[in-house]
Amino acid sequence: MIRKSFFAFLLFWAVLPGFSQEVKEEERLPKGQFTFSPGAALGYRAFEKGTYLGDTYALGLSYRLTLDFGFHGYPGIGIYFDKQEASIQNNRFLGVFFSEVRMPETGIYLYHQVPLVKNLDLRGELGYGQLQVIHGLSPSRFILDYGNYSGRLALQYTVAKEVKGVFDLKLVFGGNYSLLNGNKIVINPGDRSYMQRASALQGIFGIHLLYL
Amino acid sequence: MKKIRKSPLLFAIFLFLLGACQEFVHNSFDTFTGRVVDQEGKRFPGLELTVSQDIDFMNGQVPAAKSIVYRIKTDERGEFSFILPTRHPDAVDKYSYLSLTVPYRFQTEFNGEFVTENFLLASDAPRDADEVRDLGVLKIVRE
Repeated sequence: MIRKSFFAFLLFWAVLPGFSQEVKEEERLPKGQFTFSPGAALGYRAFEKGTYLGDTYALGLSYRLTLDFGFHGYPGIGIYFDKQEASIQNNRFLGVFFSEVRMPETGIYLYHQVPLVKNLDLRGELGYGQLQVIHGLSPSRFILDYGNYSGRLALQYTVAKEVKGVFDLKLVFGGNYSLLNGNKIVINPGDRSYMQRASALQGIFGIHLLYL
Repeated sequence: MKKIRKSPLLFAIFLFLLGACQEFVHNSFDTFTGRVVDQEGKRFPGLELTVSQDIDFMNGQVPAAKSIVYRIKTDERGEFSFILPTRHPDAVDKYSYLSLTVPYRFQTEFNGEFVTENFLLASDAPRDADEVRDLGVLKIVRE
């Protein structure tokens, strides 16, 4: 069911540029003008139950820093850094060696956004990142690496335009769906799929600054 | 100039030492498996085994598990398994032990003679490509 939604999202993302021509909005920026937009967001991610990541960690809030680059009216590219803390629940893999876990993630995404109504944009993203699950502290660190393929839909509301004549302030609210693949992890064949595969849903709330 | 020439070497030594100090191998789990039988070779279900990082030889007359990681039980076929993050070969605490509580002991053969101990070194078992370490058939005696 979740995977079907993901493919529906991909289809929607592919036809998004067509949408933008339907909705007219007063354009302050000429099409094709270079823009960049840093952002920060708080999020909460939940891994799919019945997987190693879903059953082993109790997750806290995450924060995400982003930086978009693009030409106004066209799809753009962005980079992100995400970090989340977690605690370890009873499990049969980690023994008693660790008490704390950090989950930093860095990655890249393609995005496109279209105006829906005045001051409100719909934004779609497709991304790939590297999630590290870091247990303990060096030299007793134990790291698990996952590749993270993600898709995101978000609404962007412009709160203030041309603040100090420099940037627009936007609020972002949205959701993220991820497929995680830990194929670097070596473990017995019986537990391999449980350990290496997971999906995740993440809700986000944050701000974007669009520099003019 | 001499310092500059030396610094890459120092940096390489620093990286080497940093790697040598790592306690775990990232992205890797060891799976330990085995089967427990009694003196007649019959399966031994429900036997409690203790997995630990160390053994305390100063605890009275019987060596005791120290730094306990898991307590597990054999299943109805007398089989057991447990999983641990893979220890780095150069780590100080790279050993894992399997212990029994009184009155049970492992019976092993050493130089053609049978000896009994209440613990064995699990991390000595050979591993296959999937990091599975088969401890084989473990014979248990009651004292």
